[in-house]
Amino acid sequence: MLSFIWKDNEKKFREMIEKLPVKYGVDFNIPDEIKTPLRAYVTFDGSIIEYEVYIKEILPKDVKSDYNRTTKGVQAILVIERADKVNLNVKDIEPVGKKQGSKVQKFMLINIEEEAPKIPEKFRKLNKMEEKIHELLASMKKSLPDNIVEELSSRIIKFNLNDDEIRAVLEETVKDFEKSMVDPHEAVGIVAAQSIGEPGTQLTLRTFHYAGVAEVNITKGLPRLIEIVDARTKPSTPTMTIYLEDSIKNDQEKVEIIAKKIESIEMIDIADVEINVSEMTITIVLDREKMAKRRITKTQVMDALKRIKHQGLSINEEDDNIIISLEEPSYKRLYNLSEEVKNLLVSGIKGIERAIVKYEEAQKEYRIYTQGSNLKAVLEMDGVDPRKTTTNDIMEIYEVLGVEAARNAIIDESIRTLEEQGLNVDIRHIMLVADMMTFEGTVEAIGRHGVAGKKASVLARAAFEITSKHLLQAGLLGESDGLRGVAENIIVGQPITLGTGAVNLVYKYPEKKR
Amino acid sequence: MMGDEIKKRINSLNFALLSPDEIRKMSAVKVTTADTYDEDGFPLDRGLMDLHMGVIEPGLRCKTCNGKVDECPGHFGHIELAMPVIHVGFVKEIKDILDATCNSCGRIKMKDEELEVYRPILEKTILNGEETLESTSIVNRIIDEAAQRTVCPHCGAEQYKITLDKPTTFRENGRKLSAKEIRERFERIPDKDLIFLGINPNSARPEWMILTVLPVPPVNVRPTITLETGERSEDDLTHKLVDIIRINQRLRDSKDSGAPQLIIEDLWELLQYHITTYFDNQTSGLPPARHRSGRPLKTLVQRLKGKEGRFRSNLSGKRVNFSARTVISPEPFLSINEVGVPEEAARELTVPIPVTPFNIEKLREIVRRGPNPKGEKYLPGANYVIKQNEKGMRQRILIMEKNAEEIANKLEPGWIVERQLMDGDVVLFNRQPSLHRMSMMAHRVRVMKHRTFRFNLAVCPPYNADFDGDEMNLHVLQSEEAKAEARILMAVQEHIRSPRFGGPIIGGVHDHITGMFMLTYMNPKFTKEETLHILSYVKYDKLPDPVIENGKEYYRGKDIFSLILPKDLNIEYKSKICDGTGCKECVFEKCPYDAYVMIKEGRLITGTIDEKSIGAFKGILLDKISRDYPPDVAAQFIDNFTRLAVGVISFRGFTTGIDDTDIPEETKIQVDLILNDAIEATKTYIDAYQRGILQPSPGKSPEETLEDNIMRVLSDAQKKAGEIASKHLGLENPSVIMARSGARASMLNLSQVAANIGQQAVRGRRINRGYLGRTLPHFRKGDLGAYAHGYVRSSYKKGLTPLEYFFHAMGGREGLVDTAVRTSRSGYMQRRLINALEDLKVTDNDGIVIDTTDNIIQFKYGEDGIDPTRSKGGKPVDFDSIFQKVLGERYLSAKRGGK
Amino acid sequence: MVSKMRKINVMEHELVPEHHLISEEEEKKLLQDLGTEKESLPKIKRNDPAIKMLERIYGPIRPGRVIKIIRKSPTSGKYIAYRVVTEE
Repeated sequence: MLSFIWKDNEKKFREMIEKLPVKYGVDFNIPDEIKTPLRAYVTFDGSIIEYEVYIKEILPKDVKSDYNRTTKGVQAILVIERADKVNLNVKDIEPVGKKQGSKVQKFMLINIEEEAPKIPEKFRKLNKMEEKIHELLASMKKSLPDNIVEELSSRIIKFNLNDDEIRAVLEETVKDFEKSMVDPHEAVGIVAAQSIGEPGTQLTLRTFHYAGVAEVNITKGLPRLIEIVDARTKPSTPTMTIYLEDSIKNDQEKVEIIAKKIESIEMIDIADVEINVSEMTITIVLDREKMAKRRITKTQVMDALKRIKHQGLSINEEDDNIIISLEEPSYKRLYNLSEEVKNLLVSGIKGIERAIVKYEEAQKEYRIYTQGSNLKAVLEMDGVDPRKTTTNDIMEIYEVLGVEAARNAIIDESIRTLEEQGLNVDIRHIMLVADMMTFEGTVEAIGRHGVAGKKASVLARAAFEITSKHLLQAGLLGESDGLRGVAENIIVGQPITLGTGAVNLVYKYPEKKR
Repeated sequence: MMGDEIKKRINSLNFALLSPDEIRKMSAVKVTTADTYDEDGFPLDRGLMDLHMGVIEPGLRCKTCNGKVDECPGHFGHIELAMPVIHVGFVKEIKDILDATCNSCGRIKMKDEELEVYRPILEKTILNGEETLESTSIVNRIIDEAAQRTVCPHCGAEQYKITLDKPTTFRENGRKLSAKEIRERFERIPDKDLIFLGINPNSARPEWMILTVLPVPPVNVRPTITLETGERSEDDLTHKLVDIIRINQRLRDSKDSGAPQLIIEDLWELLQYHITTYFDNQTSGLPPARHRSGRPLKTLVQRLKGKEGRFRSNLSGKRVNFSARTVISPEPFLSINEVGVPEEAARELTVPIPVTPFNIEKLREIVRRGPNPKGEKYLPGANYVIKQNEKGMRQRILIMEKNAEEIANKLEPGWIVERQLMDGDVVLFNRQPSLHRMSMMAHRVRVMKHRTFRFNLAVCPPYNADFDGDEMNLHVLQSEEAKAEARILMAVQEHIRSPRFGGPIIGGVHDHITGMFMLTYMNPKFTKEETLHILSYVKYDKLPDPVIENGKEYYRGKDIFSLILPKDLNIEYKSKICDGTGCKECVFEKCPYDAYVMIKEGRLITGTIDEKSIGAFKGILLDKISRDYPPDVAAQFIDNFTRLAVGVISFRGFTTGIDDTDIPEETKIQVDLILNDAIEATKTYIDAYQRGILQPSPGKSPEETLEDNIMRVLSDAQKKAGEIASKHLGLENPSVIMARSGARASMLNLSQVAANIGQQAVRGRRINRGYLGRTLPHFRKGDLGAYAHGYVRSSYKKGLTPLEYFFHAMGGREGLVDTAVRTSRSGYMQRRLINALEDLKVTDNDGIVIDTTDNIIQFKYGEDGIDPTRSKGGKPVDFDSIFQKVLGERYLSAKRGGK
Repeated sequence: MVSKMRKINVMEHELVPEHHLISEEEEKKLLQDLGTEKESLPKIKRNDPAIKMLERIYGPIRPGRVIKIIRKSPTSGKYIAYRVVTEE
């Protein structure tokens, strides 16, 4: 699907999209190669794309149209089906077409995507044995999850079972599986919370205890688990594990280069920044030694300085010093500017403080471990494997990869934290917590600001952390508590609606014999 | 018949605001006097303790319902306020409404067309008493929008800015808005506008947020306390009400007598203050009202809030009757399902038994015994009998020796006998902190002499109980339903496996493991006498086949052990004493160290039974039995091996002494050499560092590299020294038996006693803190050596030097502090998790997990629908077991070959 | 200075499961099988990176549509979940 931009009259456009679908005449020519269906982007002021329009068909110009943008010079009629609000920067799209002369063409061909991105399939096809097993199960009117079938299949093949034995094994497996299933009405939430909370007393509080490992200091144990459960925006020790592309993951040099590239270096790491108030200047004294150690060139410094967005600046070079002068004398601006210069990113990716290369024996490859995290930028870097590279910052994962990825990250991080301390907690409990935290499509904390605070019951919220006052207010304005949860039933003094309380026993009198 | 009451369920609770009319209607008396009692000590009429509002003294009757102290529930009264007062809890809402509505016509300051858009959504939620994210945000937007309009779109009147002086003063354009004016404005707001303000017109009108009548809580909500000295002390709330009435009276008098405006306003403000503090004495911006003693008063909000407040301390958790608490002590010969209850406790705790024609004779006998039966053997008596008397009311009759016979004869079906606890009764046994559901389990009672609760040691892990003075609680179940649920769902044997990780949590600890080890390691021989003695502790079918040697009959340990195994059990695995380091290749059942356990058809063929077999968390044998066999088989197995272990160990004897850690001189010299080398290596590193030639590791500074190296060198030395010492500590040594079998301690502990303790660490580093530039004044500044930073060279046996002792204490202290802080932080996290997840349950629709509003949290529990308790360490199915069952030996030998 | 930026397909990342847009008929059947309403389903935001990726294939996806998610499950191998799209 190709897309192109066209500029339009705001009022008319908005009127038009109120009654879709519509046939819309345009006064520019659409090349024949372009095939429908097709998407176009509409800007009004030329720099922000505000609408995405879905064009189903392109009709020849003499077909009657519902809305004529210009009466003469109609070159094509577009059948527009949908129009959605978006917010894109025109500059984000690399134009491929040419500007003709000094007049900007009314449309630009952009971003030729020959095919839409594919949804990668993450599951392999079943092998013959697995299919056979599925058939047998179907004939028994039973089913088993895929990974059990997989395991069975590999063992059956390895130990060479005959058909009778296969059947027997399947029957036994189904029996064992069904015996182990969870009972209906089981109070699964409480069990999960207890199973995670109880070993908490065995988690260390200490976050350190790195005796001589050449790695970064990472929060572990109880504080880390609390961070995860609180959905903290930034963990106290953000870190990334960067995997490299297959082509370079065994090449130490290349990996080192990438590590150096992403390690962020700020101006103060390689220079002294002095303020001269009387002359309203900032002097940057470059430290050649530090620059050499970090392999920074002066050009990089100059390029970085170009990124400062301030008016009235002039930058002059004097041997190893760079002088920035402010035209308008203003102490405040001078100070702000000096801070900006000090923290200016000269090289590397913002947020990555340290990048260390480590060789992993088990997988025979090099990896980069960082102190600091910037998932988006790192994934986009050449040489980095964008499939496996990850971070421990859950919120970043949510923003860059989506809520499902965040859910998996929560589970992975939590399991890791517990296993590191030698604690074994069934993953199903953690899954339940992760599912609760991501139910709303975002990552919510466990606690009164998130999951617990949104409970439907007035009494439950009142009994939890929140000041009773808050909730009595909301309650008094007409709320009704349906007494469906655990806390409220305990307060009221009746059996809870879980477990045995979810069921009513009825005694059936025996039939009276006539 | 007794117990005919139909049990009803409360379906829902609706909240609403009280209107002044309702308050007056529900009031039993109009309170006008600020005094409480008269000279005789009698409650004053129209006073705050008026008998219309309830009784607190026994002997007096309530004037409203004529009930006595225990019958009358208390009744509200009311106070007519001289002037309207703002209810402090609604200040935010009042401000919002003032901002959003017109000051003259009372409508919301937005055009009808703008508002009507939102009507359908708001009607769906607010009129039904619900509050969604959407509805709240709409209401907030409306209020924000309307607040900005300076001209009313309906009547055109000019609007002014409203400010709030905390906590209860409103100003319009600087001029103070009195409560009366606000009330008048609110009265003008039409019902149909209310939903746009977030108020449900069916349950509240905004003017009700300004009080004109104050309800007075019944007397039993704020009772008078009589101190030991005979003086009467009024409750805090009563004190506050006294203040309120006094000021209210003065205000009324001033108004009536035409006093100057200023005085009236002053009194009005004072009244507002008193009423505000009456509701919430911790209102920000207001000085709290205090007692004469200086202590702030505890008023309504304080009664509800926080951990000690009504919700958390009296509603979500309560003190209960029919409970007991005492110290616990071990009793190896009880079944895991039983609990030993002291006789004194059993006589107080009763179970209500309804009398039926089937049990009436038995019960008569019990009642006849009275509350204190005599005799050596404990026999349950009865303490109370409950019957319905002529008036149809329940009557509880105390049984005493003199009326016991009479009552026993009068017993009829329909009565209830509260009989004392006896063997077999179902009780709940609990240890706090109750961190998981296994902290409270159902046990069967065994009434015993002496004054502690007793239970089988294998049950210690789930309770996390030890016997250093711990106390535990007992609850006696009172209804048949409860007893049935407890017996079936909460029994100890149902909880042998933990939901946390799908493995056994009840199992062998300490001496159990030692005992089993001694019974089975290298298959010791026992004479017939010895065998019979050991087996006298367990139930068994018949003696195993003996082994004849030199004409005498011997029985082998493994065969004795096999007597308690289920007959069709087949399993094999490596035991704990297999440390995997000695052998190049495993020879499985031919293991010379007897470290490969093989059980066929219920017989132990090879291998040693230790922690890996029957231990509480790691026991593979226990795991299999608890999974493949019903709970009572598993319980029986645990009962048996605990008894057997006790039998073996008390028969064989087991002791330990310091000589367990003796190592020969040559070994000591070897250890010394190793440690010397390590110290030298340390010095070399330090020297290199000081001369600046130390090679830093990648990414680390020279200091960090130095520390890393030193710690590594010393740690390696400790390990090596330990290994050398361990070579001389063999399995005849009791301490080694305990360490190797997994009963208690580890080889690390032993090596620390025998050879060398090692480096102490605080925060993961060598000891650093102390004096300036050095840890202690005994060292020079800048000394980086091993001894200067917490290296303890001595062994525990040798004894620590004073400096070593000091550093060791520093390291140890860190651990203790860590534990102390950890418990509270982890407890808080557990509380939040529980609170957030407590309502989730599995439906009967294909394993879907839902919450209270039927939201689908998981489409299938755990993504596969498997209960973690029933899983095998997280895996739903035990493949090995299945394949073994179907293929038999072929599978096992193939696995062994492929291992 | 970073090297050339490239656009990544978030769906390829290990942590991201397969997301698919289901048709309105399939939606109806799903709700019928579950016996519930759309509001009870777990949610996913319109501006979720995975949804944005899907939009490049299917075009704009309005709130109210249902996404079928096929996860690699550590317990069952394959697990199917659904999320309903909500406003940003």
